[in-house]
Amino acid sequence: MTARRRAALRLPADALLVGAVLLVVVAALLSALGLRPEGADDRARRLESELRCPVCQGLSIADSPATLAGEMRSVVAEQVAAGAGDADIRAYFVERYGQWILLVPDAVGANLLLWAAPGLLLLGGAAVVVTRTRRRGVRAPVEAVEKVASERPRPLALAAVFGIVIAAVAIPLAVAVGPRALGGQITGGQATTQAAAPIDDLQARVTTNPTDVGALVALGDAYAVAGRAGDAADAYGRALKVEPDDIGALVGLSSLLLGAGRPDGALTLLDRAVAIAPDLPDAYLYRAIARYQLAGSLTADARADALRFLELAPNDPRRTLADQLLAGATPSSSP
Amino acid sequence: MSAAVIRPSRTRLVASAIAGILLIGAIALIAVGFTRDPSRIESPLVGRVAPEFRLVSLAGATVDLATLRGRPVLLNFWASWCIPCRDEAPLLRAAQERYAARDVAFLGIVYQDSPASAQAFVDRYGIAYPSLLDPDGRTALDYGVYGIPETYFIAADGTIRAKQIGPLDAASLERQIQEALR
Repeated sequence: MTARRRAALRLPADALLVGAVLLVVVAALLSALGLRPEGADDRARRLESELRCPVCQGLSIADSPATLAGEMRSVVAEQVAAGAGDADIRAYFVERYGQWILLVPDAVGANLLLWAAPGLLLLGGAAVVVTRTRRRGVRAPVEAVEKVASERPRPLALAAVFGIVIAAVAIPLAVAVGPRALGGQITGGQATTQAAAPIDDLQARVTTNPTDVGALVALGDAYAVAGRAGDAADAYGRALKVEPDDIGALVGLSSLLLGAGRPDGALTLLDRAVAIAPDLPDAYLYRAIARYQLAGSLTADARADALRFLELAPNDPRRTLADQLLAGATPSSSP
Repeated sequence: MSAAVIRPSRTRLVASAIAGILLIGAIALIAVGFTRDPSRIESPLVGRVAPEFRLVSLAGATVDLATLRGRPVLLNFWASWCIPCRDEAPLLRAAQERYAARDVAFLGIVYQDSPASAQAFVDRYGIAYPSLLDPDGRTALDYGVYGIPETYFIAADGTIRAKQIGPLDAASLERQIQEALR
């Protein structure tokens, strides 16, 4: 009598349990999806977290403090700002480092096995459990087994729980992969990358060796990327004190001056940079912008600089900037 | 009763056969995996056209890879802070002299280093070929460099024939130059 009553009560209890698990799954899904649209920063950050750092090979370039990872992050930020699609940006790195560079490998060829393995294993496990519990129900159990078996959940409830577990794994997986397959291309504002780890690392290098120009310039770059213009200018300034002709510091500082609305100061530095390294594309791009800002229109000098940049770096993602500059005044003769 | 005993034993046989095959497969996969160096990144560039670059050397000269088309090129990424590069430098210097008659162009690309330290290294080891500056590291990225020293052997037609990851020794240098000369 009491046993039957308990059995009758088990059903709503199971339903409650299943309901609770479903609720958690739905809540997790909603938070994973996020309710706000993905901005340029989020997009750059997501792409960075999916690219493997060639130096710190267990880390993504978003998490790695290596200089190379910093350079790769700036490539991602530039390409995102230039409006390149996710697939283009991934292809850029695959072309250079192979599929190895992808922390989230493409689901093609042999990789399909990798993608399918967790689901197949779960299904296999579920099948084993279901057949075993069902068999136990059919066979006349030994006394010892009977005691344990009577305490075990029924096969149907087990199957339901497994179904939910599989859904809990498969659905977020689909959510994680889905947006990339759809290739949502959202661009906007200046892309900034999180650079806290490299900044700390570089600060340590600069503290131990205050005349390490390479570290000072990299620190300036990291500050600039993090939007800390004042600190960046300070780092570049210190680099220039040690090595007055350091191209990286000259160009970095001049880009800061341009951002701060001081094209005159930037122009002086860039003239020096061009004199030292007559074939550095960046210096010409920035000088074109400085000259454009100073004159308020596209002067012959600015135009020549923009063209020189395009000539030196025809595949640079920032070529759209130069194109825009040239198109603003001379749409017909832009290259 | 007896049927109930026989049926499970047959399915169990099939199940253990499948499990056994999967286990052997997994062990084979792991065994193959252990024979490889997981930190080594095989370059997808070998066999393809070498990425273009136009860089300024420490001496201030501009070097454009495109203008070297028709000559085999040895492209070595190095830095003054790279310890194996110190052992490699004399080897490369000797090779340059040896292959001058074969018109092999030697180029160094300075990787994540300051021009001053790089110049000191060049002076110390008497490197006669151009050492190019790659201030934003884009050329290194284009070549898929991940840990110097790395050396590319480019044939006269502009395709990359071989890539050395890590320091060269006399034998590997000789073998790969020969590949680029072929």
